[in-house]
Amino acid sequence: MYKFIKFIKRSSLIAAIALIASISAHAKMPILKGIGGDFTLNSSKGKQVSLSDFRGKVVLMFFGYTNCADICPTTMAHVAQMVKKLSPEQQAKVQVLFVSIDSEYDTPKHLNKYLSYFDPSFIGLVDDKEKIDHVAKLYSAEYSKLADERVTTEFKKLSLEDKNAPKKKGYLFSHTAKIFVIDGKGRMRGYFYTGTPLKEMRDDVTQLLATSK
Amino acid sequence: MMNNALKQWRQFTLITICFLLTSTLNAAEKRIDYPLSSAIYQWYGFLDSQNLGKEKQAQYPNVDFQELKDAKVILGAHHLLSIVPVKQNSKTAEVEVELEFLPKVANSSEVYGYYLIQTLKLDKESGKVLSSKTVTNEKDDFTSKFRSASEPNLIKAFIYQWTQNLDNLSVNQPNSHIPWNKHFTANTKFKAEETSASSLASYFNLLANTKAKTSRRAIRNLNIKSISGTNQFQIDFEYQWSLLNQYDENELAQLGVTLVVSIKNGVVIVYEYKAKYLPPVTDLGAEIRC
Repeated sequence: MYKFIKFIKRSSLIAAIALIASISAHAKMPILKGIGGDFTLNSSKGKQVSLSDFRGKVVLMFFGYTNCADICPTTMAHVAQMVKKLSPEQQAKVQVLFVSIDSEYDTPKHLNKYLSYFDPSFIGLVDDKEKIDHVAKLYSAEYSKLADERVTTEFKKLSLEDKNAPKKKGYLFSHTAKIFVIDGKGRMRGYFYTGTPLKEMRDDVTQLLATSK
Repeated sequence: MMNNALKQWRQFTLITICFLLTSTLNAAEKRIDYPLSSAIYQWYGFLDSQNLGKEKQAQYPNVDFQELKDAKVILGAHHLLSIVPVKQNSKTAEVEVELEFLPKVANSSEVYGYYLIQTLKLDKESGKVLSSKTVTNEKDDFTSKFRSASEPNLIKAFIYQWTQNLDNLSVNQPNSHIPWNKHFTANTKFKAEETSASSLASYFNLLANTKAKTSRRAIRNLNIKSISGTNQFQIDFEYQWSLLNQYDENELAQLGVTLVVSIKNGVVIVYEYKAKYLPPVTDLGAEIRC
């Protein structure tokens, strides 16, 4: 009798967990309609790349710039840490793209050097401003160059205090901090942020990889 | 030992049931029955746009017209506060409607309103009201400014019917009996969220090809305002569209919809229909960084 009760108890527990897990799995990372799309830009690897080149891979895309002092390097380091937590097979199925919003300063070569500090597999994308604007519009990734008076970093404060400092050196961009998660079919699936726990990111990526088989 | 195990199992089962019930109830609370709501708003929109004298009232023997019992009142405004489904079967639905009735009084814009609760029985297939019984009828002890309700009621009826039609099309169950060309004329400026659909017909075809297993467009922030100097109304709202596609994947979209309409002989005529995808709503605090 006791064994029977134990069996029922266990079965109920398993059924409930399976039910809850299936509910949360379905609720997680739905396909977001009306946002995203294919694009082609010059890359840090020396040739043009399109989003469609990464079909079958989970793409994590970030809009930033190499002169960014805070959120960009922090986010790239965070993403790199998450990628390291994946198995080599999974790593091969994940592509990180860094779209530079600073077309005036960032070059493919410069981007390549910058991204190699985080992970050599990361690809930087930079092109004419019109092309970058088009991609930013596709993904509703807002960005704008800030006027000098809104600059807040220590570096800029110093350059403001120093009358001889070249004026343009301390510019900043205001830009979205979202990491765009795109599945193996090129569909938008959601966002990560610098604050997203690594385990949560890894679980979501793993789930996307499993369902895109 | 066995008692303890039984107790634990009972507790666990209870918690699981509570969890499932709570989630189900929460989901149910927010869901509007579009066909039912459309029929109810259409009914009150009809009442508000008619002079319902005794002769006309006689055509509806199962409607008590308690709010019009004062012989002087043959027209008014039914402002709906809530619709609560009471019971349903495959053919009929019974609902309790809570509303504020403002009688139209000649040469006076300040009127004494009534708080009403009416029980309506409707035919689910045709949407027709089979009976209406007033269960509460309380006269206000204060006056209110008369506000017309026929147009907002008819517009809401149209929006609910339209939304249900889009959802039905998305799961490939077209409502062929609804004459949409009565509402959308050849002069209607039509712009769907999908740029490839340039006309109503091509939009309907596109939706029919969605072949979703389930589709639900939840209406958010519905706003109806009259356009000054015209007899037209601008309607703005958002759709939170969730669907389960043919591959059992969940899809989500946020749409912004704007319509310009007018009412002619109780029918909503659409002059302009514009829908566009909106960016997903995310935590604003995490949106923009420098």
